[in-house]
Amino acid sequence: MIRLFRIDAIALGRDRIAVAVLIVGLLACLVAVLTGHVRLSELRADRALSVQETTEARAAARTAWVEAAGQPPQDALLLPTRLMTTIQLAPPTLPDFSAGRSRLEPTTANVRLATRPDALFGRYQVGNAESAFRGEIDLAFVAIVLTPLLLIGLGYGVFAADRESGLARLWLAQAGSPLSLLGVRSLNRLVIAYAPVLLAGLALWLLGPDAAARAGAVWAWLGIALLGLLFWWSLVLLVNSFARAAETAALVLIGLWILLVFVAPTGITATAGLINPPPSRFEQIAAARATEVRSSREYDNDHPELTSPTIEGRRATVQKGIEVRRAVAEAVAPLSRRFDDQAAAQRRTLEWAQLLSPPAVSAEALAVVSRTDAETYAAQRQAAAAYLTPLSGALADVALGARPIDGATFDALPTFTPPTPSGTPLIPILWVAFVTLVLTLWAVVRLRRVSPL
Amino acid sequence: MSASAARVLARKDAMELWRDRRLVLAMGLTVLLALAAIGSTFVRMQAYERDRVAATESESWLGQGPRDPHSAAHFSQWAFRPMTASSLLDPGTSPHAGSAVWMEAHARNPAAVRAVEDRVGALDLGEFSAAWVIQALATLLLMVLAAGVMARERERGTLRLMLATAPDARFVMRGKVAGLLTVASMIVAPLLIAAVAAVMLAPSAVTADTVVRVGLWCLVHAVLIAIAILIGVTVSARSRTSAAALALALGLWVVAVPLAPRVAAGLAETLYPTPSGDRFWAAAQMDVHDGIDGSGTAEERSRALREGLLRQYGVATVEELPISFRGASLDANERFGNRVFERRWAMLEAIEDKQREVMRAASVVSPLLAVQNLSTALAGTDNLHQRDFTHQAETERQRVVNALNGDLTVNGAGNPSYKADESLWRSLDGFRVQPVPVARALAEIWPDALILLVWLAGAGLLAARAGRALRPEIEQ
Repeated sequence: MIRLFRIDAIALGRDRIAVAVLIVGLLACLVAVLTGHVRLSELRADRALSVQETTEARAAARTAWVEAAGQPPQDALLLPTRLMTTIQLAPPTLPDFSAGRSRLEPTTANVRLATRPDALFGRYQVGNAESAFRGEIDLAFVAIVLTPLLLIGLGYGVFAADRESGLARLWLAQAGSPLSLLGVRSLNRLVIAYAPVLLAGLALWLLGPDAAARAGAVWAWLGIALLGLLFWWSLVLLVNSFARAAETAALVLIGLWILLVFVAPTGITATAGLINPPPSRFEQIAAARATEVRSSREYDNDHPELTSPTIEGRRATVQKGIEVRRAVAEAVAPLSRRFDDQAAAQRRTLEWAQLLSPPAVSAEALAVVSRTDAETYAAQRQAAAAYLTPLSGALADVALGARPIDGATFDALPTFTPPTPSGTPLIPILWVAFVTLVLTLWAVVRLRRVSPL
Repeated sequence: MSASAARVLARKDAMELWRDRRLVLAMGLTVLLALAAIGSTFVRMQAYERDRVAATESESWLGQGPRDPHSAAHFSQWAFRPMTASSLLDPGTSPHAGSAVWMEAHARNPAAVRAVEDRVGALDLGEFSAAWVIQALATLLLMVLAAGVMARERERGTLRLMLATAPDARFVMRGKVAGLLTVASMIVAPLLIAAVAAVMLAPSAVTADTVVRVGLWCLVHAVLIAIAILIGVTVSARSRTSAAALALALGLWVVAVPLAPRVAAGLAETLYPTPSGDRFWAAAQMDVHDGIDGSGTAEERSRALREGLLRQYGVATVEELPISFRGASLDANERFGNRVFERRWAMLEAIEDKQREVMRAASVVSPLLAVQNLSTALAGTDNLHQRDFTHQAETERQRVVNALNGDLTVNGAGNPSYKADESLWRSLDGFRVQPVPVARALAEIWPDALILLVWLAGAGLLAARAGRALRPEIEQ
C-alpha cells in the first residue's frame, strides 16, 4: 500500500497539472494569509486606538461631572446632554480566515442623549466601493471557491482517464477492484489540495493574537473546510464512476462547480430576498422625518445653551428633545421590527435553501465559526439599539434633575455589554457530512462493480 | 480549401457543438440565467424607483412649520440617487456605495442605505445581473468550448486532414474562431436583446445618452467574448490533448475572472489603505476642534470671530451687534467645517484614485478589470457616477445650510426666538440630481478601452501565431 502511495505521489510530482495546482493553491493561500493578517491587524489597531480614546474621553467627562458642583446649574445641566459614549461591538473571532461581514460592519458607534436608534450606525462607511465590489481574497474564498476547482483539475480523470486509455482494463484484470488504487489517489490529491489551506490556516493562527483562545475556532474552521473538500472529492469519484471519457467528467464537474458555487448561492440569496422582501429603507427615512415634523415645532435640543439661558428653559428643551426622539423611535419601531423580522425570515429561508448547495452551507458555517456572519452582526446591532434606552433614560434623569451630576452618578451609568454569540449550528454541517457520505458510498458501490470487460 | 471552406468549417463546428446536448443544455441554462438576472434586476429597479419617488417628496421639508433656521438645517433633507435605465445592465458599485445622503448641518455624511448591508448570505460572488452572467459564466462556457475545438481534432487525427486540404493553416484557425463566434452569438445575442429591451422598458426615461451607453456596453461585452474565444482557441491549438487544453483554459479563467480582480483590489488596498470609518470621523472631528492650516482651535476661532465682529461694527458687546452673533458663529463654524470635510473627503478620493490605478494596472493579467471599469461606467454605476452624486449633494447641502445660517444672521439679530417660515423652506427646495453625460464618463475610461483593444489585438496575434505554428504538423 505504501508503495502504491509512493508510486502515485511520484506520478503526481511529474504531472505538470498537479504541480500547477499546488503552486496556484499555495499562491492563493499566500495572498489570503497576507490579506487576512493585514485585515486583522487593522481591526485590532483601530480597536486599540478607539478603546484608548474612549478611556481618555470618559476620564475627562468624569472629571467634568465630578467638578459639576462648581459650575452654574444651567451650565452643568449641559454635561449629560453632551456626554458621548462609544459602544465597542464585540470583535469577530477569525476575520482573518473568513472576512465575511467584517468588511462592511461598524466596529463602534458613538451615542449620546440625542441619538436615535434609527441613526445609530449612520456614519461608519468610507471604504472604496470599487474595491468592495471586486471582492477580496480571504482563506474562506480559497477553501470554498478555488480549492474545489483545483481539486477538480487534479481529479477529473482519476478513473475516467484510465478507462479512456484502456489502462483501467489492464489493472482491473490484475487487481480486481479499483478501490484501493482510487483510495491512494484520493488521499494524495486531497493532500495536494488541502495542504495549502491547512498551512495557511496554521500561519494565520500563529500570526494572530490569542492563539489559545482562538484554537477551538481555528480547528473547527479547518475541519469544516476539509469537509467541504471531501464533499467535492465524493462528487469527483461519483462522476468518474459514470463518465466514459475524462473530458466529459471534467465538463460535468465544472458544470456542477458553477452550479453549486456560483449559480445556486446567488440564486438562493436572490430568491430569499424575493420571498421575504424587507420594507424599504427609504420608507423608514420618510416615516422618521414625518414623525419628527409632527412631534417637533420647536426643535432646539441640539444647541440648548444657545436658545435658553435659564435652567428651566434648558430642561424644557431637553424634555422636548426626549419626547421627539421617543415619538420618532415609536414611529420607526414597527418598520424596523418588520425589517428585522424579514431579515430573520430571509436568513431562515437561506438556511434551508442553502442545503441544496453544500459549498454555500460550508461558507456560512465558516462565517459563523469566525463570527463574521450576518446573524452575529444583526444581534450586535439590536443589542446596541436596545442599549440606547437605559442610557438615554439615565442621562435624561440627570439632565432633568432627578439625579445629581457627580462622579457616583457617572459611574452608575449603564454600560454596553455585547450579546453572547450563539453556538455553531450543527445541522447544516451534519447535512454536508451526510451528503458526502452518501455520494462516496454511491461512488464506491458503482466503482466496486466495474468489470474489466 | 478556400475562404468559403473556412465558412464550411465554421458551420461544421457550430453544428457539432449544437449536436452535443450537454453543451446545448449549458447554453440554454446560461441564457435562462441571464434572463432571470435581467428580470430580477428589472423588478428590483422598479421597487427602488417607487420607494425613492415616495421618499423624495418635499412635504416634510415644506411642512415643517415655523422654525429656527438652524434647527431646519439639522432637520435638513435627504438626497436620493436615482437609478438610471442603464444601471439595469450592471449594478457595479451601487450595492456597496449607498444611495441616499443626509444633507444635515455640521457634517458631510457618506451615502447611506447600501444594499450590501441587508444581504444575508456568506458566499457572495457578485450581484446577479446580465453583466455577471456574461463576464463570469459566458466566458467560462466559451473557453471550455474553445478548448476542445483544435485539440480534439488533433486527438482524432482530423486536424492533419484539414491542414492538408487547406491552402493555409490560417483558414482552419479562422474557421474555428468563426464557428465559435456563431455559437457565442447564439448564447449572448438573446441576453443582449433582453437587456436592451429591459433598459427601454425601465421606469426612468430613455434618452440618446442611454442609447449610446447601451450600445457601447454591448460592444464592450462583444469584445470580451471575442477575447475569450481567441484565447481559448489559441490554448486549444497549442495543446496536445483536449484534456490538457481544458485544464489550461480553466486555469486561465480562474486567474482572469475570480482571482485577478480580487487580488488587484487587495493589492490596491494594501498599497493605499483606506482609513476605517472610525478613524476618518475621529480625524475630521479633531481637525474641526484643533483647526487646520494654522486656523487655531475652535475656542480661538470663536474668540477671533467675536473680536472681529465687534471691531467691524464698532460695538462693545455681541448684544449690540446689528446681526445675530449666533447666526454668524454658526455660519463661520459651518464654513470651517466645510473646509475640513472637503480636505478629508479629497484625501479619501485621492486614495480611491490611486487604488483605481493599481487595479487598472492589473489589467495586464486579466482583461476583466478593464471590462468591469467600462461596463460599470457605461451603466452609470461606477465610482465616478457615485462621486458625482455625492458632490452634487454636498454642493446642495452647503448652499442650503449657508442660506439658513445667513437668514438667521440677518433676521435673528436681537430676536433669539426668531423663526423662519415656509417661504424660506420653499426658496431652498427643489434639488434634483443631474445625470452624468456619457461623454464625461468616456473621458474617464478611455485608458480601459485602450487596454481592452490591446487585449483584443494581443489575443488575435496569439491566435494567428498559433495558426501559423500548425503548419509544421503537415510537414511532420
